[in-house]
Formats: sequence, structure tokens, C-alpha cells
Amino acid sequence: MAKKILFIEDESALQKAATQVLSETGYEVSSALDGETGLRVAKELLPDLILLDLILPKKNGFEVLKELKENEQTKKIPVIILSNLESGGDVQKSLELGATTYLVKTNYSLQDVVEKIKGILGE
Amino acid sequence: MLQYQLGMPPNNHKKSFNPFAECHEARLTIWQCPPFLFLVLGVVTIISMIATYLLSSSYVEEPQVAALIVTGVAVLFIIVGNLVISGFHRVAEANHMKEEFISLVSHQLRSPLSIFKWTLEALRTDIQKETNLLSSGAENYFHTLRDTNENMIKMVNTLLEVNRIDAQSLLLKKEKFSLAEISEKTVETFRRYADSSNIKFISDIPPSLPYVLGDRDRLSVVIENLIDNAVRYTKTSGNIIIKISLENNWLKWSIEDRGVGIPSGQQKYIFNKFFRAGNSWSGQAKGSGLGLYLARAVIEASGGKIGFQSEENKGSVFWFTLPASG
Repeated sequence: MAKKILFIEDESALQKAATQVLSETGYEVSSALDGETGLRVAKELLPDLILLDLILPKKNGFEVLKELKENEQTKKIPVIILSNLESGGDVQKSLELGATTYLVKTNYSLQDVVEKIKGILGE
Repeated sequence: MLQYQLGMPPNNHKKSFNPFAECHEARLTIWQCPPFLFLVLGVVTIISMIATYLLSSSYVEEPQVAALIVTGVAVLFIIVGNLVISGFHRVAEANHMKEEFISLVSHQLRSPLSIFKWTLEALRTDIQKETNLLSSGAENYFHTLRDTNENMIKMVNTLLEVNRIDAQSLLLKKEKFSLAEISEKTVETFRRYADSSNIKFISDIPPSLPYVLGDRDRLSVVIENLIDNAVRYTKTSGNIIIKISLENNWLKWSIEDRGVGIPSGQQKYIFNKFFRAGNSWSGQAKGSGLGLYLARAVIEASGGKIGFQSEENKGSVFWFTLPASG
């Protein structure tokens, strides 16, 4: 059965590109354009892994991550932060809140992201 | 590529009222620090009032005139002093705003650059799926688009990195890695361009060198900048020699080219921000003038040293050292 990935990202062009490449790799991809929807979908879908942007409408990535890690059902889902922010404070805060890893979008190709996902999911 | 793991030094230390610490954070020397200058101004004003009072009481018989002179001198000191202090304050504020501006613009630029990068990759995958094989023309267009985008990403990353250095907020990771490995990997990325320019890389790297402890990604960028300069300033064909040696528990990495060299009068500025040597035929050689500035900051923050020897029209040797880590 295909592993489920949820991508919470407000930039639809990034969502489309990532969805295409991840689907072709064999993942079942769902997406959300804002933090609130992302959180709701995560609780309903219980994906195997979440890709999360930090600057999001309605609820920012930190709030989403905090709530995911406080929820019994979602706290074990690995979360990869995909952001273009790069300050030590943002990275530190994300990791302290429970993110598995932090990737700067411009510095990673989609293929690199796929490799990271495979590594985290033990594939 | 930048990836972070837990264990980075905390950035959010407790804020307490300490105006001198604020000046330190804004990288102002004590003589540029408005709160300190305010104190100095107060002391100078009091001393000048006393001195003026003593002098005027010796030469002026009327106490009202003496008091008027003292008040006049004090007012003059306060006005001049405040002008000086507010000038320093404006400079500090402008500096801070410049850093904020670069950071904001760079982050805003990253968004479309990442969209371009990922969309291009998805498009390539899509076309390949349809046609199985890209024509050589299409392959070249993709290369051009990808390389152009990567150059823009590098430029934005460099600006952000320089901003971090200026703001003294550069956080380096500590990881063990092989200097030889990242050096050889970086050389490979230049191979295609070097071949087309008849430039040959010669490696002089012993097989079993100890690791170094430092920020692998940032040191890769340092090596990339130094190789880039050597290739860029080698006018026509020539050899570029890359050496790594172990000297008293320090690893020394060096790159030697037979390029245009640096005029002796300009050598002292070579690590300055935005500096480009006068003979670097600016119309032909691209570059931001930030590579060596960045390289020095990263190497020194990693506990090493960086330097060079150069002779105009003969070539240059750039080197850096890093502590070996077993």
C-alpha cells in the first residue's frame, strides 16, 4: 500500500510540482493550502509523513507543528519543515517543537526531498 | 545544501536592560555607543561648568556674569554633544535597517526561486515521461535554466550569509568530515567548464588524512569560491593544483593557479567585502566580490587561518588551515 504524505504549503505551484514528483515515486499525496486545513486533514488522514511550510495563512507552521505534537494521534508522525526561512532561531524552534528535520526549499531539489522522505520512512 | 539538526547554540538569550550590550550587538565600538557618549557628555559638561566657573570667578567680578558664562558653555556642550550622539544613533539605526532589508528581500527572492527550481524539475520529469528521452537541444535549455536559477540561489544565499556575518549571527555546525572528499566533489562540479576552457585540475592529496571538525556545507562553499576564483582568473589554458597536507595537527588546503594574479598594491584589500582586483577585467569575469570575504569569515569562525601569495601576471596560491580532528 502506498505511503501517505501530506504537504501543507500555501504556494500552489510548489504543491503541484511536489505532488507530481512524489506521486510518480509511488506516494499518495494530499495537500492543504493553510495551517488550519492542514491540521484538520492531518487528524483525519493520519499520514505517514508531513511536509510543512512555516509561513502559512490562518495558522503558521510553528502553531501547526505544536498542535500536531500535542495530539495523541498525530504526535508520532514525522514532520519535515520545508521553508525558505533560515535563521538559527527558526531552525532551533522547529526542532525543539518536534520536527524531524529542517530543509531550506531553495537548496533542495524535489529528488533530494524524496531521498529525505525515503530515509525517514526507512525505505 | 543546508540541513540542521538539534544541538545548535541557542539564539534567544534573555533580554535585560543593558545599553552597552545593545551597542555590542549593533557592532558599535564604545566610542560610537550613544549611551556611553551620553555619559561622557554629562561628565565633560560638569567638568567644563566647574572649570568655566573657576576661570570666570578669577577674571570676572560680577557673579551674575560668571553664572551666565557657565550656563552658556554648558548649553553649547549639550547642543554639540546631542548632535554628535544623534548622528551616531542614526548611523546605527541605518545599519540595522540595511541588514533587515537585505534579509527581507533575500527571503522574498527565495520564494520565486524555489518555485522555479521545483517547477522546472517537475516539468523535466513530465516531458521525460511523455517522450522517454529529451532532445539534446531541450536538454541544453534545461541545463541553462537550471544553472541560471542555481546561480541566483547562490547569490541570494551569499547575501544572506554576508548579512549573518555582519550581524555576527553566523552559527556553524560541528561535524566530522573529510576535507579531501568535499574538495574532490567540488572539483567535479567545475570539471565540465574547466575542460571547455582547457584548464586541468591536478590533485595532490595524500590517501589517509584525518577528518576536520566544522560546518561541512559552509566549508564546501569556501572551497567552491576558491576554486571558482582560480578557474575564473585563469585567462586561457593552464593547470590548477589543489593540495591538502597535514602540518602539526592542522590540515592545510591550498589551490595554485597560473592566472592573472593580484597587483601588489591591492593585495591588502582582497578579503574586503565587494572588493575586486583592478586587473580582474570586470567586463569579462563575473563575481560579486563576496566570495573571499565569506571564506575568511567561515574559516576564522571554524578556528582556522586563511591567506594567499600572489604575483601579477604569474598567478596566486590561496590556502586555509583547519584543526585536524582524528
